[in-house]
Amino acid sequence: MRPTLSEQITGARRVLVELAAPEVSDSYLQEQITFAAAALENAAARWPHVLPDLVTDIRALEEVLGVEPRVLEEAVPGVVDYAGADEYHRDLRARLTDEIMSGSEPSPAVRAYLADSTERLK
Amino acid sequence: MASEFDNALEGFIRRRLGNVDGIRVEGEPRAIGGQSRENWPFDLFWEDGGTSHHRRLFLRRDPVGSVLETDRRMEYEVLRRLHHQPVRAPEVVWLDADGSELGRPALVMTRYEGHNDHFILDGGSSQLDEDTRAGIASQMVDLMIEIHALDWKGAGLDEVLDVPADPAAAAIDEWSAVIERQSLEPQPLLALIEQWLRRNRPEPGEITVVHGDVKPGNVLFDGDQVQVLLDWETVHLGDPAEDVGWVTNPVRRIEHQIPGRWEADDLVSAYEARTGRTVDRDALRFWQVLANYKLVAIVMTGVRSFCDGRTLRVWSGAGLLANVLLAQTAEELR
Repeated sequence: MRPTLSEQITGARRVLVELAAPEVSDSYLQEQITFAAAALENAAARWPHVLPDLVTDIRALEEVLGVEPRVLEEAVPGVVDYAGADEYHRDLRARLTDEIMSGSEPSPAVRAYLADSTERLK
Repeated sequence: MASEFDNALEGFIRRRLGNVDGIRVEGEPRAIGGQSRENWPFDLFWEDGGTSHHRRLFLRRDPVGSVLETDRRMEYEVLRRLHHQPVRAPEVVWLDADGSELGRPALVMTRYEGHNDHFILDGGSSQLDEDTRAGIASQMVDLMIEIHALDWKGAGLDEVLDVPADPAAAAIDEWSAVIERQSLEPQPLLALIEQWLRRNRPEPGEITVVHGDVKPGNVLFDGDQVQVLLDWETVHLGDPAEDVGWVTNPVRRIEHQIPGRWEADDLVSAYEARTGRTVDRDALRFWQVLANYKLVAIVMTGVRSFCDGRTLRVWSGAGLLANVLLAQTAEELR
């Protein structure tokens, strides 16, 4: 469907940058507009990847933790429910955090996971 | 028409000046700069016994949501004790410690002449030539040395600041507690970094005043001369190598270094030559990693403020810093 979500977000960013920002003389407000525009730019580029990256990270975490892969709840048939997946992801990350904080030497797999997930989730 | 804040400020001043006439505040809009405090420069005029008075002042107030949650009373008490010490610190004038008068905790200090240029060493708004910038970089080291040379016992700073038995352990404890308090989600990478820091912390040594945020962005310059170092909210007693690690942090290179002319090794060598101290390179690396761990904690505080709706500043994630932390600890963690 057009405009796509990315196109709508990009359009909202243009309103800020091209219409609002030139009319603002206060430097504090200018700075806030710059941050908001950058966030919209990031959102427009990132949102299509959020769910696939989340599922990828869940599978990587399950492997690192030695957890049997869970069948993820579906919002509609064939489509992963984001909120449920996000909650499960949070639970897995909490388990990994606890494991690291227990003081045991992190395995190479844990280190590799953290390097990869930092790229994936930033 | 006077705003609620204007009225509150006038009442705050009136209670401190006592029975004087003609109090007038001429303020400017909230000043840009500083993610952690709201800043208002203003001029204060009053009459007392037939004499006219004028003071140039600067008010720093805690915002609703900040990147740093620090104590204005501590900052005030430290700066009050430093006023007659050989260090270029601002003079504090008044304090509203609990925010009962100005809405949120605030302190008022003398406003100094000079300009602020966060990236002056990289060119910044001043666009000075390389020799002049190198001179400023050298002055920044002198400024840091000035702080480390302070007689903190003589100045009574131990009355308001903790004296850590183990500065590195205290720093890890402090910033891991901030991360624990501010984080909105589990942070396995930061857990790993915390473990690295605990395994690699330097032995306790000399205790000095540590500013905690020495940078051109916290300095007022008069041309090419460093005038005064502002923003003492992270001051503490600790290991002087902490400040050296902060200013040689690779992430902040653009603020502290001049490529090919004044790099991290030059900075450390100058510090060593002028102080007679030897900066242990493993300890320096620890403090550089700690500097980014601290930056992550600061970003997380900002993220939480944003997510809680307490600030309008939209924060992106701490992904860049996480990558840097991984790279800094690479050989042991990757």
